[in-house]
Amino acid sequence: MRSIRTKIELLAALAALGCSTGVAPPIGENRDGPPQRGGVLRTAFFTDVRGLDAATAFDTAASAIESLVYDGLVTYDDAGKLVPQVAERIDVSPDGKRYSFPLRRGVSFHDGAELTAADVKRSIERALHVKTPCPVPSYYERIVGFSAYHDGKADDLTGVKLDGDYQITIELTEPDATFLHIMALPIVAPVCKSAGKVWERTFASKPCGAGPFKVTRYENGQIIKLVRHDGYWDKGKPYLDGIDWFLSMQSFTQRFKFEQGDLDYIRELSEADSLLYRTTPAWRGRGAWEPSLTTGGAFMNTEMAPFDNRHVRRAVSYAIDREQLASVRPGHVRAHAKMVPNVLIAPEPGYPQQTFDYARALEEMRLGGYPYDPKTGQGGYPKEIPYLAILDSYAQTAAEIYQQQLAKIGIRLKIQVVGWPTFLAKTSRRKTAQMGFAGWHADFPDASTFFEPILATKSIQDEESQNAAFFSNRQLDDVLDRARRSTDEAERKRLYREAEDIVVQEAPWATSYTYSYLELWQPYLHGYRPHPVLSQHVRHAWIDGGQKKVAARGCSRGLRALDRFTCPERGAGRSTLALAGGPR
Amino acid sequence: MLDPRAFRRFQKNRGAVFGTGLVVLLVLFAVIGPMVSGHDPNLSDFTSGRDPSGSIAGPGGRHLLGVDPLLRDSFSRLAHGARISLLVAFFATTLSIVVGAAVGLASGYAEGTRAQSLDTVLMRAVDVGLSFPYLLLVMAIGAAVGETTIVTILMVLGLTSWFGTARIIRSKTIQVRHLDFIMASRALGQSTPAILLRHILPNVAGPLIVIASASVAQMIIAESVLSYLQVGLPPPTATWGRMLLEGQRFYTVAPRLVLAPGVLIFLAVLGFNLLGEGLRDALDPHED
Repeated sequence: MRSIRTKIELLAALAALGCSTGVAPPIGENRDGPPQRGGVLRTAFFTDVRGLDAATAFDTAASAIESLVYDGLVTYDDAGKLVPQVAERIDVSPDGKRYSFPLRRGVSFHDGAELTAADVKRSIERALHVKTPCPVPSYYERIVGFSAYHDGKADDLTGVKLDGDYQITIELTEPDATFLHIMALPIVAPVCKSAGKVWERTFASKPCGAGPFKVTRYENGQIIKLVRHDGYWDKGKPYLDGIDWFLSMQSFTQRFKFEQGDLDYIRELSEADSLLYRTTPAWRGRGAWEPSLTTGGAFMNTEMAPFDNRHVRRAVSYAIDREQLASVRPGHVRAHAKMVPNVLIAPEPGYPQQTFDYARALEEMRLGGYPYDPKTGQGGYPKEIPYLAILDSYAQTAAEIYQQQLAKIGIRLKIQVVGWPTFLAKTSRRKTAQMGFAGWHADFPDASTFFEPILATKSIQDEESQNAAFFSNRQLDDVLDRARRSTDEAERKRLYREAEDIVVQEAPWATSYTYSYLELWQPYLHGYRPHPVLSQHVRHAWIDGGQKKVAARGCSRGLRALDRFTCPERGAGRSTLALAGGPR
Repeated sequence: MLDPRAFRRFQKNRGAVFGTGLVVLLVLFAVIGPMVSGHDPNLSDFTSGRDPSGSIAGPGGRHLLGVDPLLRDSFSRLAHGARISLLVAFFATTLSIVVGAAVGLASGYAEGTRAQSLDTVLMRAVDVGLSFPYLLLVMAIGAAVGETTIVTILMVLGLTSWFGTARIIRSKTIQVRHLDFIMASRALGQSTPAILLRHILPNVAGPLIVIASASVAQMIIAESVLSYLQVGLPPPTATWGRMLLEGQRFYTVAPRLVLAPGVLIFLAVLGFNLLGEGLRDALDPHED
């Protein structure tokens, strides 16, 4: 009898495999104790990583791995404050135009060679060489001699000077408040001599730096295997033996591998899976939201009708109800109505922000020459406006809501959903895209990164323009220049407030939301919290080997629906949704 | 068109009657559904928003079948999806049948005559068309056309699916052409178009009807596949394929978002296939 019942239960469990809606509880428990050395951290990206050449790979995925492979002159501590890394200290001249970096002794590259000042100069010059496809060379334009060197008219970057073997000095043409931030970017991190003096494509798949991990295997679309760099200058670190970073793994697959204990940390949960984890009691209080350094919205091409008309742009910015945008993806999306994320500049009362004001939006349409009567539906802009959105992203969701909201002021959007490469090609070409998704993630934690690369006149190009709105405003350019030159934080804050006001008045972007990721890790993984600046910064993580053995014994590796038979501690952790019998 | 014996055979076929019932219900759903729902399928109802945890409101209250992740009425979207599916399927099938029948009749009538070259050219064109992977061809044309509207979808589907019809009608035409009454018509001096339209077409109408009913089911699937692959009608247009795509991301928390369009596609295809099989059996004189 008992045997028959067990078989029935087993069958029911197998049937449940097909329709189970719960998530497995965490594996292991948090235990206090000193960091342990050993173990391999396993995680994954939804995307591939095209290359790991510090000078050129600048996307979020590559940057996360680069921060493990390369150490820079400076970096951010756990609180997000700039601190020396391979530099021993940072000496700044009183006029803010000369930075000296005495280097630590005994820093070695992955190939065993000692890191010297010459390597630092060679790496900076390699990154800014005319033949290197560096994505943001203009960040470094204030280094003395930059123009001549970057244009190929000089053989060396005269502003970068060696003061013996262990000190490097960089001279600027004028003070630059963002200089230490741009020196913390992997772009100018010291690279091994194998990288050469000039960029070569092959280095991207054989990266070599002075970071705590070195790459031992790199298969595009499959895996990047990192192992501890035993000659790392910070003795005793890193704790992990290595990191296996799987590539091109669907978020759906990531979730199930995480549940089975095959991944230790994940970040790219689908919205539904994020919802499941958030409502599962066993996971409550675990994981954390990544601080959002992102601003999202819609750009309006100021060189194309009807957005060459300032009133129409303003009408759009007033017609967008940002709370509605947030309401369709609670948790991940927050209403946001200014360029700089609140993490960097918290809005005080009276801080300039775009607002939802329907009456004002209608009035701006009238002032723009396109009066619209909401009662009759007559008037408005007579043509449909193509809106470019990115396939399978929140940008597509936002587009559908913008479409509803703007229809109420007589602007009819026709959504064109395209892949990322097409989106970039169209939005970066002059007079091609009228309107579309606009999003920007901070390159470094400073307000300037939310204006200069995307709204300054100098960021406009006929092709490959980062300024999708093709917005050119002399007053804004002047404010941004002054803010970057200033070393007075209060003055800079005031200037960026002025810049925000110009964006509110001119509305090249309708800023709308900010997006966050929910990060999860198993309890046996310690020493990790989302970093305030660096994404997926796992370099200080360590694994509690004893707890991880629980997973290895099979509790987590078996079929989840069979856990009640094979792993008693798993049976109790069904989600509230599953307990409630389905969605609420 | 349908003689009384065929009609009786059809009535006796339970599957055919069930299929007809499904088709009738589907048409009623497409026609009346949007009026019953009272909601715009493309407008979000932000008042029935998601709770702080993000759960999506299920059936009940103001929304008969609940709302989708963008807070749009699911029932209304399903009904509008039915309209689009049926509209595309009917018109694309009509186009496909018209082109296929015309090519098949011309080719079959030309076979073995002085106009043999016409038959050869048309049949080689059919060979080429059949050798292309159908969906790839449809997607390539869709991408080339760029702007996807309901007209482009039905044109693309209609103009890429007539090859099989042309083959069948050609062989049927060759069969009929050699019958005595056709020889008599020619001897009496009737023109070729008149013979094709007045004598051969009515005699190949049976297979055409059967092909058409089965083709409608294929068109419904094809339209759903295009929408699912995001090369069909652009958002926010409600189509079953798009609803399936949007719902699959939420299958763990709201399975109804996948089940509803999935079940409707299944029932529609089942209905038209049963109807087609019923017609085939009813029109087959050997069934007696």
